[in-house]
Amino acid sequence: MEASRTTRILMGSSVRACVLDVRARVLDVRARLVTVHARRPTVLARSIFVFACTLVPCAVAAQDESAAAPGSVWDGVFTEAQAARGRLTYAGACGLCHGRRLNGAPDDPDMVSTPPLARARFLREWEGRSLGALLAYTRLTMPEDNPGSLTDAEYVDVIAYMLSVSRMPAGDGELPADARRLADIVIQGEQ
Amino acid sequence: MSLGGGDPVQVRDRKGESDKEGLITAEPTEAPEELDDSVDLLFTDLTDWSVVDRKAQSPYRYNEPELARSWAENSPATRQFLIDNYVRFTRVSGTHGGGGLSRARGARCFLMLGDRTDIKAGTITAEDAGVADPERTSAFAPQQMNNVSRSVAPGAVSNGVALARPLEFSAREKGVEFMLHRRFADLVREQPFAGRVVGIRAHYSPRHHPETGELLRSYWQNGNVDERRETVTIRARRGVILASGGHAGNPQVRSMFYPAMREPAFPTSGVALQGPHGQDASALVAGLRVGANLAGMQQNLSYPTTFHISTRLGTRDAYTTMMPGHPTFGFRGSAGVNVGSAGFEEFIAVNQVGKRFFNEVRLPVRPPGNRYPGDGASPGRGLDHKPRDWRNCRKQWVREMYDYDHGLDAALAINEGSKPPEYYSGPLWAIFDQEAVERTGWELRFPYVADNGYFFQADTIEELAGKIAAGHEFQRVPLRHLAETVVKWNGYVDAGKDPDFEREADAPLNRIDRPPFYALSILVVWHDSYGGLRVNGRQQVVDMQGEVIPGLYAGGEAVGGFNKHGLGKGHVHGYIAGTHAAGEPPA
Ligand SMILES: Cc1cc2nc3c(=O)[nH]c(=O)nc-3n(C[C@H](O)[C@H](O)[C@H](O)COP(=O)(O)OP(=O)(O)OC[C@H]3O[C@@H](n4cnc5c(N)ncnc54)[C@H](O)[C@@H]3O)c2cc1C
Repeated sequence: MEASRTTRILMGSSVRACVLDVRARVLDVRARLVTVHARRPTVLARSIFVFACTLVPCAVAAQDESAAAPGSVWDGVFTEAQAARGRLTYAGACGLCHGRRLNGAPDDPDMVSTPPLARARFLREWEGRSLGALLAYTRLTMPEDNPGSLTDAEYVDVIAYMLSVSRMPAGDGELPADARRLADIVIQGEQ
Repeated sequence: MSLGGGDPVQVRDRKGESDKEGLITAEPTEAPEELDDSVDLLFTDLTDWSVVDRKAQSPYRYNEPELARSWAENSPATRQFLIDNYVRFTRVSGTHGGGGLSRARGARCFLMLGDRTDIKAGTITAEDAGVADPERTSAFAPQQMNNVSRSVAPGAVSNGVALARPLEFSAREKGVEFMLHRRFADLVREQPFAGRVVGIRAHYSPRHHPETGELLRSYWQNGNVDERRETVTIRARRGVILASGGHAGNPQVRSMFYPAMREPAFPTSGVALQGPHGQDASALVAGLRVGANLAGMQQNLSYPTTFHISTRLGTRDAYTTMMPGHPTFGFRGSAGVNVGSAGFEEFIAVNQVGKRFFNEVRLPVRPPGNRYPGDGASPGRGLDHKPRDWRNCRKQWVREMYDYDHGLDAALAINEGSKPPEYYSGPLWAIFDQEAVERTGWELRFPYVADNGYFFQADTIEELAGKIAAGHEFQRVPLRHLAETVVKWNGYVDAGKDPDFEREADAPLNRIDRPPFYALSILVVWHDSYGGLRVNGRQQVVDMQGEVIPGLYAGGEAVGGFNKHGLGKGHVHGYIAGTHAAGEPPA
């Protein structure tokens, strides 16, 4: 049950690559928990990690073939109000490590750099993957010291804010806090 | 600030309680078992010979056991002392560097945003916290405070201000006197190398506002002693406690550890605030003059922030985030552009003769922290850590987790412009074009950059090289290879291959060909110090014969033999030294 839900979360143009990539990124993030302000993943995070790793084969096997045609992050997929909400959530939950410019330069100078969450480098690293995959990854791994501690709506608001900083246009409808529907929206660096 | 040993904040979070004032509404971040700490476990961690970092250096192996024991025993009481003096702590989250791997021991200090700044109530205005305007810093807080709502409650802000100001407020409230504008130079001992230390000699050394020339004053004035004689000698009835910080700003002392760091082009962190004498090894130098011994002198080499390449470009004060509004901003002139590690793929980095010297993308990566087998990171998941276990440093494990790029060392290496006898490596420059500015959105305007010798702009590369050579205080030679370096680089971009440093493996290559062209300074920063005066478990300074120097105490970055980062180290040392010095019979 849980596996097929995650399957949909992770589905996109290339489900296998996507799932493995999420896993690789979890590992990568864990490898980055370094030095001065390194965080201690909680017991919850650990069990999520184990869950994510064991889930991979079923997720690949159970992919849903009936996905709708993918849209793009350039299609006005969030609203300005949602991005504004996301900005506030970001400041409290993400900004300390990822920086107020979302460029991976932490607000606290004692902390090491982190991956950027907007603009060219972010888009390059996530090119071709879906917002569903991004939500799944973020929920599994972030905030680093307490993964999964935001609500889905808050995670999605933050994603809307990240897209707005990357200069994607806002539209009339909000990004849904529904991983299945987000799986239909593909991240593309260029329109 | 990381303490531990079963300190009151660990206990509070373990029980899932709020703070006494009820400011914290957030749930604990750490699981209760991660907070189940003891003095013995903390001591075990701090003397763990087996742990290595990803540079294969051992952080705890060379710690003095007596110092570690005393620090562990006094950590819980120090946390309580701080709480009793208006310091508020967030939920515990992870552990600050050097604080051991086995448990979560770190908590930040916070204040709540409010209508007025009131230390007793725990509130601060948005203006004082520096969060009202992203381009202003206040006189109250030299660095803009960070949002820590998630580990306290909405409106919580944090940084060292929430520690230093409450302690200062409390000290002034209790009648402590402050003699400012004074630089201590010498200790007075009964005989040059024998007897008690009975006082200090200090010189008048005021700082003036760089633009207005006004005398810089402390934010609060109550308790200040207005004393302007050139030299004063102060008698110490019970003892002298040296707490003047480390040697990170003294190139001569630094070169004991790393000869290339004699290069004065590279500062310590917080230079605008600390002034020209900041972290100048005052305590170490004065201590040596009366016969003190040193300890832990190699430990600078096993801490990741000791020296590193900052991602904040275009300012000499490359570690800190100060904006206009703080009276010392003028000493830096620009806030700098913090490009993060990711920003290093947008330019080429060149040395003082204009040559590339390393893969730029790997340049700012700091040597990562301590690891133990089975651990995804460190400090992390402490419950799985087995202290003092030989497997923690067996070579198979080291091979697996080693992760250090040596970019910093390439930056410090001698080059064609290095001249005897010092062979300075010289300044470093990020060179890029208008296209990069548009790609990244970097704001090349005041207050981020200024005409202060750390940022240059020109229509041609040749002109840019000339401006740097004429305008930067440490540029001793012309950047005579810069133009050919850019031509060569553009050729590499066109070919999609960087045969010199194989950068294509890490990031796309971008041509540098659209004027205007820009240069931002890249700074190596020596952040903090880990070698210094040898002290015993009472923080008394010990001489070359292993005897205590009576009446002389030291703590924080002034002392060696205890490889613990930052505030946790100094505050417990202060607590120990103060307690023992106060108990000395008055002279
Ligand atoms: C930007 C920044 C962020 C940091 N963030 C953290 C953090 O988040 N957590 C953490 O644990 N650590 C942090 N640190 C490190 C921490 O601040 C230092 O390790 C710690 O303050 C050292 O304490 P200390 O008492 O030994 O010396 P200092 O705090 O350096 O104090 C020395 C004092 O002595 C004065 N002084 C020096 N020489 C003389 C003299 N000759 N005569 C008279 N007075 C003199 C100086 O003016 C200064 O006031 C940070 C440091 C910086 C710069």
